[in-house]
Amino acid sequence: MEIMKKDMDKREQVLKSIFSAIEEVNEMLSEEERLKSSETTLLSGDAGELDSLGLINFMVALESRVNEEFELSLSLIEELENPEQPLKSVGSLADFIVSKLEFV
Amino acid sequence: MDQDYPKILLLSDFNLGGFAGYLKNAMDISPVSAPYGQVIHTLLDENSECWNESYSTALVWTRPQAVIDSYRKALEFHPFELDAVLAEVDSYAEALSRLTEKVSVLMIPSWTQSAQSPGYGMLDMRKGTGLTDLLYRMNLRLAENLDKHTGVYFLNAERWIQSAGKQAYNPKLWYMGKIAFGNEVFKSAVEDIKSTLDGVSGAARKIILVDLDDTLWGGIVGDDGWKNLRLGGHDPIGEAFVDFQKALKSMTRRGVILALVSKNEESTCWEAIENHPEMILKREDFSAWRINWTDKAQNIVEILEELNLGLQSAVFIDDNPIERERVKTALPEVLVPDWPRDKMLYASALSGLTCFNTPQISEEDIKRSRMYKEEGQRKHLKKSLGSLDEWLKTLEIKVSVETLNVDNLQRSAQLLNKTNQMNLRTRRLTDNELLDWSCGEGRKLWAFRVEDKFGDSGLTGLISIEANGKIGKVADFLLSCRVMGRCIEETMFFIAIEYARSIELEKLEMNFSPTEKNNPCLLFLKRSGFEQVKGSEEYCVDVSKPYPLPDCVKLIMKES
Repeated sequence: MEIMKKDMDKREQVLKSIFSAIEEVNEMLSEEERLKSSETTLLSGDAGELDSLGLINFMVALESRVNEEFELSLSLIEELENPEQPLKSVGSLADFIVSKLEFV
Repeated sequence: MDQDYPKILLLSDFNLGGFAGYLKNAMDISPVSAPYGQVIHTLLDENSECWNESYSTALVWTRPQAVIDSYRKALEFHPFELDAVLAEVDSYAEALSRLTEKVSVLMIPSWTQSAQSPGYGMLDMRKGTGLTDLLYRMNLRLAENLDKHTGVYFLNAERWIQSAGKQAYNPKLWYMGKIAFGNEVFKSAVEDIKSTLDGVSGAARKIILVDLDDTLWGGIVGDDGWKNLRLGGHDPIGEAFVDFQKALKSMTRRGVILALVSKNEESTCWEAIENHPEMILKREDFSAWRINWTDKAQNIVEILEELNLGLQSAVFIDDNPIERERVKTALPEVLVPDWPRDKMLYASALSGLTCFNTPQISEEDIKRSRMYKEEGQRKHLKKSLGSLDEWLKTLEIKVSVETLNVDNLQRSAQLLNKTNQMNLRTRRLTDNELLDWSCGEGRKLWAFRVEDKFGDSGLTGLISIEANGKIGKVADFLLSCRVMGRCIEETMFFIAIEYARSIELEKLEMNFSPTEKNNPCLLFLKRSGFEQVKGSEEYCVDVSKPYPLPDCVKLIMKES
């Protein structure tokens, strides 16, 4: 029970970092292009809501936050080729980062 | 948005997509980016696709290694000849200067050193070897070259890098997107660009209205007494207040006006200002004040009216968030910056405000604070006298008239580009464009200097006409708000009409171009008795009819 709660907390923290990165990217997007801070927001792939420049900025913003908050070094660009598509949505990205944190 | 900004062309050797997004959101404009990496090509190629459209404003932001090949080699530790590098900078400046023929405002961020640049360690500032030394010299050379052109602003990008700190560069952004700087750099750049364009279009702020208790000094003077205020001494907070006052005083030297707005007993405050040994700001530093228990928004409106300034000229600084909120809500055009709770951050908060930047600092700007104080004295006299005519006669107004010449060109262009309220057409021209225009056939432009017994207001008015057959068109009619309502308007038309008569024109016509701010000009035209062409904004004067010089004005003709 205790372990499950800890995992939940960690996921919440990761989501907070993702939403903060979204906020940073939204500052350079027009109102209609801005991303919602939601687990279902699609990031990359054919249905992704970010263009390539937006995606680069989002990845860099998130990598720096994850590094600062969890001391985890990520290279998300390499994950764009990952068949499991961790960057497809905010939810899948949160799961991916939490899974990486287990090995830290 | 405070104002409409022009369309901007962005030229760069790196990806400015994100920067363009910030620019768009901050200024409600759609910047157009030329394909990146083709700066020189775009500058030199008249047929480049981006010139299919015309722009009034451009920004050219480059990394030095991308446009100065000898610097790129120097970064790889190839030996370099300083003169050869600087000659390359001259050529680049020459290419940039071509843009000044296409746009009226050109912004060039200075070159900065990349964090990845290896440098020579302790030799990095040595002339002929050091890369930092080399880049400083290149920037200075570029600045000297650009200084020869009007409408070109060399922006200090080093400040943006400093304020971004560790976020200034990120190699990942470069490798993934060819983005040379972090987002914090872009945000600072946008602030400077906005302030540059505001300054160029005459929208720079002119006055700081400041509170007293816990803003200029620590404590509540009415409760604590002036001897117990925190100001100076061996106290970090006291020192911070002294530094904030020094920073405000410095602003007056670049033409910013100070006024006091405080909820207090007036006599108590003046006692503190005059007697506290550590006060930096004195009574004479303030052009106007309202120290009473009235609503601060109301007091601000009164002060601005007294000084003939618009709400959009003002910045209000107060430690109290409730007072700030009240002014923000009641007077949305007044800039009310969020103010730090920490007193030790006051001076840096003031220096972070970019809204006072102007494209030039003239002698008139430096004297402005004093001139507005004099304006306050005039208003005081106006209150104590009965009729307007009587008051005007007591002022001993002298108006000097001169045609456009090299000595008054810079100030004339500055006035043309800054004046908003009493302005017939709000035409904006650079120094050279104004000079070129005035040399055209049938054209005549006069500049007016105004002084009275309270002081010299300097060059404050312009009127120009263009004769065509028997008709003269008033091309410009503008007057600084500092001298409005003192019969200078009528004096300017007296000169134009006398001239029109001398060259046998029959009438003078003028088209009023309405803006958000030039209603005072419309009111003048309406009360001046000029004939309005039905259903239009056009006014007309029959020059055969008498148009006398106002009684209260002594005219001095400097040139015919």
